[in-house]
Amino acid sequence: MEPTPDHTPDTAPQPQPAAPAAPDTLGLGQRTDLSQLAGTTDAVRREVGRVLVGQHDLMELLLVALLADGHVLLEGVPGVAKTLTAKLLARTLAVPFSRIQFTPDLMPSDVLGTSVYVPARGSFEFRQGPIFSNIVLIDEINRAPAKTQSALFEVMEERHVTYDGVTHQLEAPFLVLATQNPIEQEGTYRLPEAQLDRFLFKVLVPYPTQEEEVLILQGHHSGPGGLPLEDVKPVLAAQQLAQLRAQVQKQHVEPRLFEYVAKLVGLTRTHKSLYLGASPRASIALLNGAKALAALRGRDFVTPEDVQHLAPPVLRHRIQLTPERELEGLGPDDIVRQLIQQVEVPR
Amino acid sequence: MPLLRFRFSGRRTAGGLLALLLLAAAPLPASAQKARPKTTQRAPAVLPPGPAPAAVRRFSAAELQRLRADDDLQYRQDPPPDNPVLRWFQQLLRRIFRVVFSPESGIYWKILFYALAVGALVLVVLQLLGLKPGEWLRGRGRRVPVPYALEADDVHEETLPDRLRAAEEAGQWRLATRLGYLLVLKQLTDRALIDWQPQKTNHHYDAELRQRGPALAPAFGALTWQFEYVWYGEFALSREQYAQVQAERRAFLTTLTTRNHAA
Repeated sequence: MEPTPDHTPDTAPQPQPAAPAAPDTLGLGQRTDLSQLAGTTDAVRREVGRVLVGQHDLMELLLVALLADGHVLLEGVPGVAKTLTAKLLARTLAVPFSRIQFTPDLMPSDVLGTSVYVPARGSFEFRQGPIFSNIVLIDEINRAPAKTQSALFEVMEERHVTYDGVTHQLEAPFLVLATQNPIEQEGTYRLPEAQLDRFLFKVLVPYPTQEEEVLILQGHHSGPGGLPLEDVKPVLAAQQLAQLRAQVQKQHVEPRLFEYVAKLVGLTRTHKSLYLGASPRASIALLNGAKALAALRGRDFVTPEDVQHLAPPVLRHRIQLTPERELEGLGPDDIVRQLIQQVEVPR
Repeated sequence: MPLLRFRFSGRRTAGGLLALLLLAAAPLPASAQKARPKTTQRAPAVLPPGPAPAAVRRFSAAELQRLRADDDLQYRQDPPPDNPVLRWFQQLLRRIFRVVFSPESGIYWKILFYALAVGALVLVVLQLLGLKPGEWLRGRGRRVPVPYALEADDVHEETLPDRLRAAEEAGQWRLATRLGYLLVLKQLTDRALIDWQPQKTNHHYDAELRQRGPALAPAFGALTWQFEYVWYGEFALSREQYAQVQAERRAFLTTLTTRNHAA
């Protein structure tokens, strides 16, 4: 199934995704060798695709987040493979993985760790919590109250935990994949804005198409033991990922694209339908994401198309609509689409 | 006597008289006895002396003045307004209410009146909720007017060919590649093969061209790639490379002007 942009301006017809293999009639070649990146990400997709049916846009955004060193919040109704996707991605990386199920009675020390008295030494010793891992799957993050969620502020942004005045550094890579059900679901809490801002993307996980659902059913029908999750092999090592990230960091960005990103994000702060706009962290996220997306699509430079494609997942959880607009039935994606239509593409 | 004219018939008449006598002799029930008017007492022979003449009491002038001045006791209605417009409006309202609620008026007037009143109430509630009724009625998916600030390189700019020539003469190959691509977009727009909008990306145009002029799409895709690689990719191309770009662009424009590309 061809990947298609999930969020694009509502101008018809919709554009096709940028073709990475455009005819190079000039013999320009590639200034940057992106073959390793392409090969590795293809391998990750292939491994995940052995189990997961469809969800190509979701996989693309997860790979972008992986390359851009950003955390991802997956939102969707129960049963659309949010947790499965996160587990599969974690399995393709040859790094430690931990999973935390957030519950209403979870305490910050259950996540970060705690000091334990060691009688032999006569002193306290810090016991690391499950957050000390490379890939952390936080399942149903909005089931825990704000107190526990705010324990993640420091670790998500600064990659370290301060406990009893001592800072404990986390090893790179550190990626949080959090899942949540829509907040309308019973027994959930709204995440604090400060925490939402720490997620690079908020990805909406849709229902599968009918064809995909048929494939899912066929897979379950033939395999009595369920999905062969253990068959998924790690194909990306931590060192390799660090190299790919360094490559992404060097992507070319035309100066007017900086202005384009700044204008787009800046408009959220003055838009009359919003009472909370996006922070400069959102601009940085949009730029880093666009660089990773361009690399994933075989380019060593960013285009406005990349920025527009990533604007909804970067901005939708960082902006808040006024109550009047919410009453009218508008959502964050509607506003982001309006913003995209208000900013001229640099050309 | 007229009674004497009746013919008495023996036993029947005697029985009736006996019944009447028995009824008259029977004691009355208590309630009937209470209801019976008492016999009037005989008046005394000498009348008692009459009451003393009533003393005439008068209101205190000071108290009256105080009560008249008390605001709480002012029940006087305001006279009709002096303003002729207000007076006319008041009379209009009276007339409307008289017409609507008079017994002679039909049910339709009442329905119309209540419908208008409910409509006005709904408008007020919407206004209070901040749901501007006009926008609300137009629908939710309305668009915010887009305040474009077109920059100097608008694709419709008439000086585009001149600027392209100047860039080529100055050896600014990267700039010339960009202006050449804008020229291509202008030609496509003039032929209604794409809809130029400032917020659209090149790939929006690519998608439009695939629908309206599919034969041109591959060549346009190649030009787009060249432009993006050179401009967004900040590629400093050589004279020879630009010559190739220029040749492809000219070939595309020639094809565009000589053929009918309608799908």
